[in-house]
Amino acid sequence: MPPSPVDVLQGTLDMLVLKALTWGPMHGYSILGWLRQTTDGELRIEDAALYPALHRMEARRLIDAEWGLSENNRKAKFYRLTTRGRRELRAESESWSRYVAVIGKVMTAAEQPG
Amino acid sequence: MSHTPIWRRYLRFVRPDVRADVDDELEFHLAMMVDAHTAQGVDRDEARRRALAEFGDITRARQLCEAIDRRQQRRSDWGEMLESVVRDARFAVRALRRSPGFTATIILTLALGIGASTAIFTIVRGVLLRPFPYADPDRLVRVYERRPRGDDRNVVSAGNYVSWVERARSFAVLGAHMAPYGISLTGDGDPIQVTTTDMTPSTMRALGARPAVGRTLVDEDWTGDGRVVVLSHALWQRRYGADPGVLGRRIVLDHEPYTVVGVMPAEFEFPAPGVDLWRPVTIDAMPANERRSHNWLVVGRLARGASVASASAEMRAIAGALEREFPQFMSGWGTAVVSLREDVVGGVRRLLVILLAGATLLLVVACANIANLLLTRAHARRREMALRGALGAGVGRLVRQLLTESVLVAVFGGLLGTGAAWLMTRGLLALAPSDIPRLGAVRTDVAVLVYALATTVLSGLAFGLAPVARLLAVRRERAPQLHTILRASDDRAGHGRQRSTRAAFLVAQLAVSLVLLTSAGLLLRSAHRLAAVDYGYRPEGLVAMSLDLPRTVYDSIRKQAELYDRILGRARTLPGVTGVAATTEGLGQSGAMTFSFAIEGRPSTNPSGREDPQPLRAVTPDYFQVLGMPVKRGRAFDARDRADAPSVLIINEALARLLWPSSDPVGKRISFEGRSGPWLEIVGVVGDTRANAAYEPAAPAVFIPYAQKRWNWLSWLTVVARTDGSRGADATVAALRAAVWEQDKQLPIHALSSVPDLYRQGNARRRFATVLTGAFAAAALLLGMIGTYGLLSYTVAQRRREFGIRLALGARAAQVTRVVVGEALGIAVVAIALGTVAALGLTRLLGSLLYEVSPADPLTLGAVTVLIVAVAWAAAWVPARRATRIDPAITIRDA
Repeated sequence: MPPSPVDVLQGTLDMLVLKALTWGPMHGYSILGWLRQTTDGELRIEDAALYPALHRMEARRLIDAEWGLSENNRKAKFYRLTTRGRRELRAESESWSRYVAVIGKVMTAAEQPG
Repeated sequence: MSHTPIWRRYLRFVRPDVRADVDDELEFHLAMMVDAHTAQGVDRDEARRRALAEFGDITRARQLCEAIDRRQQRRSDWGEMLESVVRDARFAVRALRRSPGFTATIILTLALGIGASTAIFTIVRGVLLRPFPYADPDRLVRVYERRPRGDDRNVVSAGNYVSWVERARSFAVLGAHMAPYGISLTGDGDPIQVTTTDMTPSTMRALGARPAVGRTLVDEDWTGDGRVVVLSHALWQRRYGADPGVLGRRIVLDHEPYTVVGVMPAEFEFPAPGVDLWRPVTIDAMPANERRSHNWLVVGRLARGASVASASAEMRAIAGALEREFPQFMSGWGTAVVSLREDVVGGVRRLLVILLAGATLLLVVACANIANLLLTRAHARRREMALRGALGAGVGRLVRQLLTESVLVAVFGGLLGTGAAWLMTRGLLALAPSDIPRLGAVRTDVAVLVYALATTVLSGLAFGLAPVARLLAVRRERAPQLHTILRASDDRAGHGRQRSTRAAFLVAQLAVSLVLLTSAGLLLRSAHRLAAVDYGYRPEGLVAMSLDLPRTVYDSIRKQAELYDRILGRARTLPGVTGVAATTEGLGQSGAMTFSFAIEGRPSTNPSGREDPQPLRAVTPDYFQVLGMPVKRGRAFDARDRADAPSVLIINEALARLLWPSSDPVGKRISFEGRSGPWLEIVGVVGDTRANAAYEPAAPAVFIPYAQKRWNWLSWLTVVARTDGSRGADATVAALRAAVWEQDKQLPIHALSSVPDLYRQGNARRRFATVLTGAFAAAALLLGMIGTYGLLSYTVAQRRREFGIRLALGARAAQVTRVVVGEALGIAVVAIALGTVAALGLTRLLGSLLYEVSPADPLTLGAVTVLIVAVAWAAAWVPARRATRIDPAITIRDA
């Protein structure tokens, strides 16, 4: 039995969505699909949580939205990274990497406290 | 899933529909999930159920999304609006700066109109509209007596006041006070003349007056020694440096010590501006049956539930009862109750309303002028508008741009006008006659700013809509031919309509100017008539000085007479003085003491047995000669009329006409005491004189020799000096003052001025109205001239080709000139016809401001008509000359 999926950390969902959108305009369903596929389903993201996050980011002008036709000819709302969103993603991922590195250093420490 | 009504979907084309968008987005997501399930063989219903379960809390997700989007939409709506306003304003500023002369003309014209009307409103607000500085001021009334014949605002007798207090239920409080008068303030720095109002303490209670420092007068003040005084804020500042320690201070008034108990706030001006202090008096201590002499002013606060009407009714009943109880004094007398506000400002309301109307008319003229200027420009910019229209700017966009320009111009004009109003108000206050009440309450307050804002907005709309209406009309008519405007250099289509709109504005402008000019003309004619009034004596070169002797020192007629003899003797020796006389009543003031009397051998028709009281003056023998009053019958006073000689008097022609219409009054005898004498013989009749109100009919008058004056309380005196003009009036005034102070350094001098100055004061309201109306009319006329010039220049520019062809075909220059000037005169004639009708209706409102001039005065109307025609002709002349210099060859080729 595979390990149960981990919850997405508070605040990191935005960064993941921005990352997803670096591949090009996507609608909410495909964003979620890409994230699930990339994480092999090990990250639990609620469908219901995605949309408020998308709308909030749109209001902050990190992403733009446009109505278009999906691959199976349905009307869908496509999101696209803005320049501002790109900048945000860069800053976020940088600080995330540093965070992970720092935390990792601690968690893998070999020396005893002396 | 979507329950969106049809109309909402259409709305989405205009602006996003938040709810539908969120629904659609979530619905798409669910549909994709359902697809994924059905692809694995689940049936649709089951697939949908699973999708909903997997999705999570869809209701909450939808609510959150909608809330976020709505907030966002609101924010961006505002932002967009602000952005577009800023964009429009920038654009408008650029457009206005392209023609600075034009813009400046409009802004200055508007500033003039708004400034004048706001300045007048500032005065109206302060004088007429501002609440009085008393508690619940609308409950305050004045109660007067009404004379059997004539004056319905007569001062009240002490006895009647006491009866009213006892009987009337309509008033919570009644107070009585004397008219303000001058007394000396000494023992406390230089002796100065101050103005006191002596009042029953209940007057302060009726007013609900609150002190700034200490207390006001209270009923107990009279049970003490009554020697307390409340100071005005101005006197407190001027004399005592606003020292709060002034309370308890002893000051000396007319040689009597008083204790300061309080200071009133600056806005407390009762009963008139300029009162320096208030002293308590009591009426109970006087003989309550004293009903003959009337000298109290009564103020009352209406009781709960009482109104002016109900109080009037009650007072009528009380007056009727008093008439039955005291027929010898009260027969024929009534009462009058008027609101305090009406009493104070009723007399100036008409003047101020007329001035406000004048200023408003000027504003109307200014707006009409601006509308015409804007129309001219709208026409000049038709290509710009057409181009922008062709490039895709919608009608709304163009209208908004025009309106933005108008609003911007209005805002600048309004700001400048408000500043100008502030300055003009200062000027008006300096120019305003001092007898206009409550000028001290005039200030630029919120109401004034609101008024300025409102006039700015209304004016902006009024002249801003003209070019918009024009734009819409042109687009409606010729939208498909916009390209023709771009191509054609001379646009003829729509020209006629455009010109007639502008002509209509010009007609309105000139017609309103005519109303203002007629008013100013009538007032000027009145002023001219007034200057030519025969006063019954020669005011030029006369200097008058009023004195009052403290009766505590000069307590006998002999002491008074001795002092005056010394002063008059000294005055006669002054250089440049050719004659000196004295009278107990001033010249330039009404309200002299009046006395009733009995005529020997003739029963009076009055139940009191006495004739109606008439103003009496005790004068020195050379009085008539110094003033230049002709003796019509009998003789003037002379050295014979000593104190111990038989008592004599002189009356004027007005009184002779009243009492002896068909016989010679000389030799007849009257008595001021009763039917049994002592009798005074009439020895002469002098010509009538007019008091300061030269437009009023000459009042009857009685004169007695000063030497035979028998009332020691009649202690005031006006010294009149005739000068030969070799020295200025000011020098004579100074010398007179020195002559008085040589005799007694403590003597207060009331009024001291040249007599023509007094007349100028008396006619000050009329002059104020004349100067202002004249200024409004001149400004309106100037604007009318600019407007006519503008329209005619436009006409000539429009008809260049036509004139060119005419000239080419051999028309003489004079013929072309006639066409242009003819158009101006045509407009002028229509304006004169309309304006005259309006003027005939409106100038009636000038009413009593006119003196011996009919509102329909043909001379004034004729002169104004000529003036308007002349202005129209002159304004048309320059464009007409331009038309004749059109070179036909160039004009026709350019076309």
